[in-house]
Amino acid sequence: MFKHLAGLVVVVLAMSFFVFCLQSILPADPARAVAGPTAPVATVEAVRERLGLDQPVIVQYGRFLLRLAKGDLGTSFRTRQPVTADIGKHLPATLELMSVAVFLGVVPAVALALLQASFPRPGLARVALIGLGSMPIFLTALLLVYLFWFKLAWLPGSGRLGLTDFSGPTGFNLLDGFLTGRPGVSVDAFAHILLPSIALALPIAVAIGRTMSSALHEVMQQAYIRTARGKGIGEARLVFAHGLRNAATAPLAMVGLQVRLLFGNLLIVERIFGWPGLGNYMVQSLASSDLPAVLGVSMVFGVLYIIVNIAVELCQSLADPRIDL
Amino acid sequence: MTSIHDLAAFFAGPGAPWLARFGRIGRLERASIVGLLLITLIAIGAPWLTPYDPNLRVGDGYQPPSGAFWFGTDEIGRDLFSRIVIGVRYTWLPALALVLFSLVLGSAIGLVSGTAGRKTDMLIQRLTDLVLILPATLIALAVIASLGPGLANTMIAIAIVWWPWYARLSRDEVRRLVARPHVEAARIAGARGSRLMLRYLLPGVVPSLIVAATLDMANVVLTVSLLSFLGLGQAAPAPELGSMTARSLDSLTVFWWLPILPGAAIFLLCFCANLAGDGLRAALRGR
Repeated sequence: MFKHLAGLVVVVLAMSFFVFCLQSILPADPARAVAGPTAPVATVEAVRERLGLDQPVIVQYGRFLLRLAKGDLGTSFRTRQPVTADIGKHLPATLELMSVAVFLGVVPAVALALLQASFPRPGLARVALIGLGSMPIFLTALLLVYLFWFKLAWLPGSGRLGLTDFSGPTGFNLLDGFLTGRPGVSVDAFAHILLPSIALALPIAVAIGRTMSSALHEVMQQAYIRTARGKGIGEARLVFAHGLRNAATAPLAMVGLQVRLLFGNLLIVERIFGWPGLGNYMVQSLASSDLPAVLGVSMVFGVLYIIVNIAVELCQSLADPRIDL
Repeated sequence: MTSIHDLAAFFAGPGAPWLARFGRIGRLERASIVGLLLITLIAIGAPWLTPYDPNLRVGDGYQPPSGAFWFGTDEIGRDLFSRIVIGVRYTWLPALALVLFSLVLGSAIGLVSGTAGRKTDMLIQRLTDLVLILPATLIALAVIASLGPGLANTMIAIAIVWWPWYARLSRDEVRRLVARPHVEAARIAGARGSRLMLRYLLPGVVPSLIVAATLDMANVVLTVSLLSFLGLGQAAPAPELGSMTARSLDSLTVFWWLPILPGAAIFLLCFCANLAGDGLRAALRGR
């Protein structure tokens, strides 16, 4: 476990350096962006000095690391707030959306794969599944908005909550509604989170379902399954008790890959649904070449991704003891 | 030692009667493979096939789909159908090149990582991690920004973040295979290095990799359109499927064809690619 944590620190450092170097060769001038397009050159230079942008890249990076050790990611050029504060403000919304999306993606996928392994697969359902997996994320999102918000008016098409003044202890509206004794808020939060999380969950569900069902298919052809079948064990028990665990490795690896795809999709879904999370914050920061904000959000996404992947490796070695950590 | 011989045995050997297996591909999947070939031909010949110049005003703005303009016209009166055909060209051809590149590089690295010792494996995996954790869109933006905008630079940006997936997948498969008895037997019999990799591991890894690669075609197409949606693709007047949708988001409830049809073109492309991938999976693995 210690080895994994040490690896995490190394990877985060390397990532921050790589991103920092790439960002420093951006032609867009953040000092100009802060000072405004009409500001005189002297003002721009003063801003550059104040932000430390006149120093060499390596000095800027050193300063960045020192501040990072104190939990300070710098000040956003765009919002003029500490990036840590901005991230803290936007992170719960994104974590909430991601968790619901992964849950809505994994659970039906596993259930479908198990169904497919136990019963003959219906061809039409398979083609429909492939079709769902082929939707670009913005098309899914737009169709969901068009149908459920514009045509049917069943669900809200943007935002995170109908109320504007609500803030709970955890930042997760789904929980906070119950914690503060206002279940109505939770219901409202659920209505808001449903469309964006379905848009995010569809590609996850399809990818995991397909990997899982192909892995299960391969496992179910192996000799030990034939032996078990020969001993008179029923098909359902064969799949659950004998096949499932051996088929878990590939789908678990797919969860890790999908979480990374999720980061890209988050940017688009949060933008289309006006979800006040890190994805939306990132899109706006990218547009205004807001270096500290972009760097800070990528660090957060990188750390999240590493944590998920360590968890995936742990689960893989739990499912298959031949894989050592 | 005789790695060429091993390769030949792998493609022609009794263990892989590939051609015979193509008979197992379903009708829909065969149609989609033909469809993909057709799309590839259209993509190659696109500049000569569009009914109008994609970058010129050819009619009034916001015209709905009609006989003259099959997909309608956009906000400044350009023919949407012509723009989408060109957009497909600049999405599909680069995606093909990208997947091939990633497949070759990634599987080679994965094979080495999976068979090498613990330390080498660890090193390669951490290096792969390093590339895998960098948020793709951010790297793409930075690379494009430093090289200047353009299609080639978008492709370079994606290639940098794409190959590790294949390295990870083939390494995981190799680790799974190494625990199987036939590889253990081959090891005991003295198979080492390239012979062990090419003759005993590669045939076990290739079906998964080919299925992954064909199914991945759609992922590359989706990523290209995602970057384009975020405004990181080709510069503005170029017809790009993602940015066409992004620019017309607000028209969704009034001029639905503007944001929906470019997205639908991407969907069609991915649907064909995924069906073809599924057909290949049936052919290579059996059902």
